[in-house]
Amino acid sequence: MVELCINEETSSEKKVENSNGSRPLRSIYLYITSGCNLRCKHCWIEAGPEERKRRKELDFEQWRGIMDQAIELGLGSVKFTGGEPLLIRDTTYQLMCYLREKEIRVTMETNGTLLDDEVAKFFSETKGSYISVSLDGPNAELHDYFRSVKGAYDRTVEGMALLAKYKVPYQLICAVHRDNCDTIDDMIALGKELKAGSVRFLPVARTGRGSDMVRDNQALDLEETIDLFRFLMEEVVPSAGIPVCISPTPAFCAWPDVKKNFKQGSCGLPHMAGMLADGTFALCGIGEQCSDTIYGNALETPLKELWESAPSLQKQREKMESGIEGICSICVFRNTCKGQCRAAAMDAYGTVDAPHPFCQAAYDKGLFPESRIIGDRAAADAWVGKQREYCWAG
Amino acid sequence: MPTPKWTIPEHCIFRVEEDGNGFMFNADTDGVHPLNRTGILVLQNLNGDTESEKDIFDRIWPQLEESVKESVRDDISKFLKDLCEKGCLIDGEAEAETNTEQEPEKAAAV
Repeated sequence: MVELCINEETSSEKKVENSNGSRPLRSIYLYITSGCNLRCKHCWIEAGPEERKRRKELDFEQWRGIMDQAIELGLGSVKFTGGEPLLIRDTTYQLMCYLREKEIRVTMETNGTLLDDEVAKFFSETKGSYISVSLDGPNAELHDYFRSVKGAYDRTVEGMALLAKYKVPYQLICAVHRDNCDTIDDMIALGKELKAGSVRFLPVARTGRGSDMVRDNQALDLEETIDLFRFLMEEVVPSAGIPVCISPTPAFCAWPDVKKNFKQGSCGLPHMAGMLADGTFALCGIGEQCSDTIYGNALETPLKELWESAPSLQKQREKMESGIEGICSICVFRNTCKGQCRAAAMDAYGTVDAPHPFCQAAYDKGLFPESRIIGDRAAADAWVGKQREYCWAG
Repeated sequence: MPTPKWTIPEHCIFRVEEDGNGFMFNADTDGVHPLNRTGILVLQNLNGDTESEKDIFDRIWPQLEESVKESVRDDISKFLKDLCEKGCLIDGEAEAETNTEQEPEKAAAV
């Protein structure tokens, strides 16, 4: 059939529930340690060698108990992140294997410096598993400066080579800022050389240490970020020779790209949660910065009770489900994108139903695509200039 | 006064963007329906008169690329039907028929 008319509908999230009618906890982002062997300038969790002491880490048995409760609630996947999850390698690895036994999908975000054969083999042999490795420059000088540890680049590249050896189709993730934004082509070439399955480019998050980068004029500003997305979508993605992933909000995508970028979708808040290193149950890692997104501790309170009854979580879900405000309320994607990352919105405005900070800032500056606005502008105007200094404001 | 065959309802927004792509947005359902260039062409050529799919096809024919001409003929019907089902288009003729069929029932109810 000729490609005529209506592409597949970008419908809103389907309603899903457990067999008993309860809301499933589909996914956990497990910030299994606040510690890290690197000290990256953009880390939104503000992890580092000293930060490991910030939260008392749980052992395998404690995590197993929590995960068993989560499985009862409908758990389908766990993303290991941190800090650096392989800093506590044995706990992480034991838990990964346990989850695999329970047929729970395992994914991991790592800096790659501590990867070993056994972990690489896990990702090679485990169907549905996925690993991404952060690399922020195509050479040691750039990467090590950004990661604040000499030798980090070489160790990360060794880790990537190990994944390649085991034929793991890992993703290389690059946080883009002023010092590395002209190395996109080199990063793609490196990704191909090191046999990555895909390369993802993300502007540095503007929270945690990322807010220091904004203050120090190292992060891309709004106009530069829009230009970056446009450059990636129009010039890089079509000819890269390797899948290139980017995450602009759909409002900033041409229609042919909208469907692709909707894989990112809206915030998982209705069906996901974050667990911090000490068992703290939170919206996600933003719990490290924003106490309003902490709902309790799974060592002290049954997970079912936290998931189904924690008052602040209930309130945030209700707010989110009643609609995102500001520019998001008059955007053509209001019911599909739903303002994407709610942690960013919480960080920028202090409330979960706030507009996406990037889109609202673009609206404030007259840079939001006019053709994507479908409602009364008063709703967006009410939020003009309200976001926190180091987000996209100014 | 003839019944307009196809009309875009008030709760829907049909918009064409600078790059030639476009969309239909249904405010009742918040549904977003991306349209390709041919779909846009069809909607731009609904003139509100009583018209058949053949009328529409004849009107857009000169603007179609050679490679799609034959298949478009068959797809127009499906496209219009899809939009009607999504609440993004009103088939005036079908509505008129439905209303006529319902009249006796209304009378009986009274």
